[in-house]
Amino acid sequence: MKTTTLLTALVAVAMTFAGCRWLEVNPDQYILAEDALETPDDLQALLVSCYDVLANLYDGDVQLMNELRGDNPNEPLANNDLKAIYNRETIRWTSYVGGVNRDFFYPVLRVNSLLDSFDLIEGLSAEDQTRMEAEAKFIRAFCFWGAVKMFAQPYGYTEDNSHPGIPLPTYLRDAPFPRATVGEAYAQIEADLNEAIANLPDDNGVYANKDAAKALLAQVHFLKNDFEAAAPLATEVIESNRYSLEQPDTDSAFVRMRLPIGTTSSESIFSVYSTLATNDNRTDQFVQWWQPSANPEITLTTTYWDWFQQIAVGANEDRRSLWYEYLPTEGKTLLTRFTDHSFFNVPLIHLTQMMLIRAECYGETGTNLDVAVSDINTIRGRAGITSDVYLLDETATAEDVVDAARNEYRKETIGMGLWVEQLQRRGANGEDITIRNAPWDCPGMALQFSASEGNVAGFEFNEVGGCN
Amino acid sequence: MIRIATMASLLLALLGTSDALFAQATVQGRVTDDSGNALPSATVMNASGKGVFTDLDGKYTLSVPAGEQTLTFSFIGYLNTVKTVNVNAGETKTLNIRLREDAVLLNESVVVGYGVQRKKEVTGAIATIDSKEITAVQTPSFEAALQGQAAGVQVTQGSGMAGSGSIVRIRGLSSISAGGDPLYVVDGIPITQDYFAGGNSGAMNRNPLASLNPNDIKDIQVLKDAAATGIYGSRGANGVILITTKRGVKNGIQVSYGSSIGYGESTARPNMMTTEEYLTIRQEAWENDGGTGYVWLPYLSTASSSPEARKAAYERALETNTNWFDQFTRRAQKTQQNIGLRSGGEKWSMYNGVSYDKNESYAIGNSYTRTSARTNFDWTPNDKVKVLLSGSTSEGRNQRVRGGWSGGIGTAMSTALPYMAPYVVDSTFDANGSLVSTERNYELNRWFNPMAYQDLVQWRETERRQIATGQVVVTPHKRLDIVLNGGYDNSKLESDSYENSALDRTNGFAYGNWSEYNSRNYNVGANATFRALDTDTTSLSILVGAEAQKFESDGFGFNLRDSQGPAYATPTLRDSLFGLHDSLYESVSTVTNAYLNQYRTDGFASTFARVNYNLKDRYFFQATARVDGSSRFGANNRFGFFPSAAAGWVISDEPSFQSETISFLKLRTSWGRTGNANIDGFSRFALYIDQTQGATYAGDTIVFPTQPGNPDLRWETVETIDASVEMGLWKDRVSVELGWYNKMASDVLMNVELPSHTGFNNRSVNAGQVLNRGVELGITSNNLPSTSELQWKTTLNYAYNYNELVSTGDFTEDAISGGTNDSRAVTGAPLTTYFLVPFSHVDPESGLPVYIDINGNETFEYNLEDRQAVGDGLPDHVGGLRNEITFRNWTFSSQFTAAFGAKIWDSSAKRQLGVVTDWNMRTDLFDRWRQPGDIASFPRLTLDETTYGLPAGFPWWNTSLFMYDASYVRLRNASISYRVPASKGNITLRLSGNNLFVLTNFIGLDPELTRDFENRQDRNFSGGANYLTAPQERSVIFAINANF
Repeated sequence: MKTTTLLTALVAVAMTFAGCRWLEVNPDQYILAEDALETPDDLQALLVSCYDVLANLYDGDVQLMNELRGDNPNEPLANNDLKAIYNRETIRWTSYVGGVNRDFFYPVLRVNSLLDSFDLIEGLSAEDQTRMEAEAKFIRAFCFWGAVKMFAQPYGYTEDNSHPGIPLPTYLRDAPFPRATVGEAYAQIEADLNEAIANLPDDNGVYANKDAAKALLAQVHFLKNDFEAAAPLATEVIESNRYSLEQPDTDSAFVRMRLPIGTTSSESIFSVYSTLATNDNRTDQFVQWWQPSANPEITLTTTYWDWFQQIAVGANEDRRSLWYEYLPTEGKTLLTRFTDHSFFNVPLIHLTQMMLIRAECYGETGTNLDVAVSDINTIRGRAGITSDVYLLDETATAEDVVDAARNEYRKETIGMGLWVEQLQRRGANGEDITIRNAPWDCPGMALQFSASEGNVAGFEFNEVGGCN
Repeated sequence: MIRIATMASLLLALLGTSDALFAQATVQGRVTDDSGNALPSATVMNASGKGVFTDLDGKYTLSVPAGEQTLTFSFIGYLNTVKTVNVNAGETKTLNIRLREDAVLLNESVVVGYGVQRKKEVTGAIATIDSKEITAVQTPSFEAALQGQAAGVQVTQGSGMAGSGSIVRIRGLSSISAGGDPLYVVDGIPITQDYFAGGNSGAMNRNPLASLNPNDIKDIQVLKDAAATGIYGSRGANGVILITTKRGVKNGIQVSYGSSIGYGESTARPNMMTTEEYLTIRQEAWENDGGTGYVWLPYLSTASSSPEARKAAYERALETNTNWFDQFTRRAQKTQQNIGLRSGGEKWSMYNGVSYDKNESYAIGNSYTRTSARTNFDWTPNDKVKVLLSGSTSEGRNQRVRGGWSGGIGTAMSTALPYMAPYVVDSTFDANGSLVSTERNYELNRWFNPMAYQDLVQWRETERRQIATGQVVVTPHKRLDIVLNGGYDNSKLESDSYENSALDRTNGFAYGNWSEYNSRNYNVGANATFRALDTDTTSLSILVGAEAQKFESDGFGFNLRDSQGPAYATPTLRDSLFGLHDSLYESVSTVTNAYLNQYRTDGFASTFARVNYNLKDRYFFQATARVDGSSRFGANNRFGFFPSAAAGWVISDEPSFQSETISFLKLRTSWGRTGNANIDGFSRFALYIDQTQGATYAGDTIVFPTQPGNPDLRWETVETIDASVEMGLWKDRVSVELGWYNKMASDVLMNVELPSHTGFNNRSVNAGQVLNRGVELGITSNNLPSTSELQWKTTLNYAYNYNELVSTGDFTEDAISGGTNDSRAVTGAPLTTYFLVPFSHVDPESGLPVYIDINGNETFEYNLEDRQAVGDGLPDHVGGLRNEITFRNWTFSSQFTAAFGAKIWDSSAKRQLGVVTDWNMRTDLFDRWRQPGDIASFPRLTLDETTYGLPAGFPWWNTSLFMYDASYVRLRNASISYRVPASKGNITLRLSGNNLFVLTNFIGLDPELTRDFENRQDRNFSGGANYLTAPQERSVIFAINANF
């Protein structure tokens, strides 16, 4: 019996120790955060993941939402969230908007995680660290800028830009960040971009390089109506000679201008990439919403088409008409250039944009008008407009240059969601701007934040509606 | 009591020697319980003290002196019965006796955690439900039968779908994101209870308890307060349900056989509109909106169709009137067979049970078939060692159909419009005009036709489960018991579905979807009980123990294109699927998607102790302490300490206590702390995902953070105070138990949705505080004297519970929600609170809805910022009333259950009674505003949601207009049974009806419902939410039970 008792006691003790071992578990299909970033390659993979989210965000989502806030498209056909954006009535539960709100901050978290991890990495060269840090800050700036343009009133809405902007998580912490002012947001973006410009390489493959940061900062200054600061940066990029305008020689090539696949557009300064080899398509939302074959959700207005025609009188010359299909009986114009092909790289910053921004800056400041005229004419010439009637000449005034630059900008960036911010900028600069019969600064122009922002008490939401 | 029985037997033996002194006669017969079950070892004794015990069949033969004899029949737990009989010398008279249960003493022995106690000395709140009450009610799963059986145990039955589970809440609800269900322990081993193994596919959650055979259960103990659950420490916060299975008998054989057949139908039918009604309503809405001519009709015309086309569509629609609910429902058949064999020798005993239970639901094509077998074997090689082994295996086969939001009956209550035909028959004729073939052609649009899915999809879920437990009890010293135990619970859940190629009009592919989910649960433990002091009046026992549990799960699945049929019907396909798993399923081109479920594991390790001190057999003290470690928490917070202390005082045993009325009086009180860790096992980890999940960018590897983790995550703890009084009146003919409790849960685990700018979606935190406070009353009364031939027993229980979410820290209402069900975490209100825009009335002038804004003012504006706590799904009062009347061989019983104070959020009424859309609607809508001056329940009809102030394109109307009082009284069960007189054993015939009627003001289908849930949090929060939920089932069952 003693043996039995002893044996029993031994088994009991053994089981207790065995049980304690069961307390140590590991989630096998994931990587523990503390094990995730150990080598330079890990850090690079984290950095690439930021571009990955950016590519999801700019696969048509952001572009479409910004088009809808502007005055180019008709009201969406059926999708209620898209209609809410168009009608400037987004609420906390407009899930499409909430999703994009969230998507802007995934890269920010990753950037902050990366910046927080350099000490953990063995074998990371100083050069790589400098580059990664610069790339990370470029991406953070890109996201902050993208978000503040959509979820806040524009720069200049208040004189001191003390109006509410977006939360600015610039480091890791558990507690949420409050909304910073728009002025603070722009200051942060500029700080990040200046660091990026200082440290990014000239050539960085498909990822952000020094020019991308300069070009982005040029746009930031431009939206601040700071033409003196914007123009030189644009010039630096243009004169780097690393980029050249595409010169498509066929109609089909013209339709695909700046939208290549398997190669890089000669004028791309920064793009997100689709990859044929892995069937990795980053253009879903372009294809889905503009798809013309089955009564597309998004179409352009007749007013837009009339404007397009009017500016390029003798529009037969303007090859950009290849991008459209006009359906007069249905009162709509289809933008067809995204739908001929489902795979393409999406240009986010390109040479045409830089040339037109610079031209407008020169027009606004009344300087270097000859350069501006030349740039505008180059762009028009590429569009097949060769008649002197439709090209600027040396007598063009600063106003002519500004008008022409704006018109070309609107045409060249159609569908890319870049028009509404120009209208808002001009409104903030004192022009009398209305967008679909509502003032440029009506409350609903700022999209509402995701309801989740209110999950912690104290978040200041935007005012709803007020634009119709 | 055991000691008294031993002394009595000695006395009987001594008296037995004096037979020869008198002229003798014989009385013989059989002693049984109310149900006719034999009572072996009952005592039969005459006035002079001569007596015998009954044998295994309850039979006795007693030699008595001739003349008038007064015989007393007694058995532990039953009231003594005295009978007088006249016998002549040499005569043999037969006297069969049925003994009635003693209200207080019945539960003489009570199973507590890690042991058994006398009920008298139990200091915790424990309710016992025996097998009779569990098997008397035909339910989809045994836990449903607990409804109304014990105070403070609230059971909300699942829907009428086969195999659906109930929600069991013990003394309210304390948890937010962690599971709020009690811990289920079978024969000492906590079993796996994963309700979300199959997600909520088909609008139903898995019921992990459905595979247990109710006929194997001997009894169930529900541990409610901290004194009772404290020994389960971290696992006990939501109560513990101890299930004890049947075991063998010594030296004999008993056989029980049960067979039943029955049918079931829906307790209610939805009042969906006919074609004519729907078109009338739709036309009115169209005209209210300014439309002229005929209204457009979904699938037949559009808003922009020409007036002529709309008219033609309208007229065509009138040609068809389909009652879709009828298309999906039937009278269901049920059949059950079970055999139990209890046997044993001197040193061993064994229970064997097998059962087959085919339970069709009233949904066509839906059934749950359980086949199970159990063997419990006990071996006592000597008086120092005892070995108890238990093993069960079961297969639960659920022939699934879609329901709720997913299709089937749910569609019949929503998008299946009455003017759509379920199908038309396409007939093919040969040249002679003879019919060659017919084929169902699914009108009008195959994609939206639920009948096509009903007919062309086959779907089966099969759960195979094995539970094995073993226990070795060593008694090296008379004061010491050492117990070693181990358990293994293995479950494999397969889902196998097949969609006929006819459903894929584009490509004509037949799709198969096959997945399996495996879980394994290992338990080991050891404990020792030392009886330090053991005299007649005073005892002290100490229990110490340790145990550990490890849980593992994994799974995988495939989507197959060009599948040949459901794998369950195609063995070669099924084999190849298993083969695919082995070869990483890469070689088969028809696999369109293959996935591995994450391997998950977590563990518990615990040590515990309990001290019981009994002073003078009337003062009882108990203290427990348990330290639990869980892998779900980080090293800094891994271990939790859970103590409890309790005291009981049997006042009626005080020498000074004198009462004719009160035969038993006990006070008890306890305090204790218990815990809850029923969360996702990996919540605490900060995690990254890498490219093994398949993602790259521009061909380059990516890695990124996916979960923030919380290294400080710790135990949710509940502090409970309990005070109760137990009373026996009139020699225990009536017993009363009245209790009060206060449960405060702190550090409540919350899986909060994070603000979007954090870059993470969710995070687990300990931030909540939840209060439950309540009273419970249980009364058992034998209404007629025990000598009466007519017996009437009444059992009443009632519980009141107050629930309040005291705090959620810095988080606001929307941080925690019940899935899509509009319930939110509102501080100061109960959990499950519906957070809606309050509806005031329909404006008689305009017919528009009037809401109440956040300041309490009436407004026509519908604004989600005005959402308020308008009601909740937790009942304030729940109760049960059972009556059992026995006359000779006949027994009639009834069981009422009731719940008051809860609200139903009828989420699907948003579309059935709101804006006129492409859903069919309910005839309740007839009470709508039509012209100025109308006082109506529903506003003017419209096809345009903006009429009611809703955002354009958003017909989901979150207003309290669709919240209803869910109070009800229900006749859960009524039965009549007849015990066939038999010389050996007994046969009972029983006819019973379940869910015969319900009294309620709820205008929907069923005030008691359990919909499908997305996760634990949703299950906690949305108990009262309805979304196209199938009503419960009404059934009539005829059963035969025989015991030999």
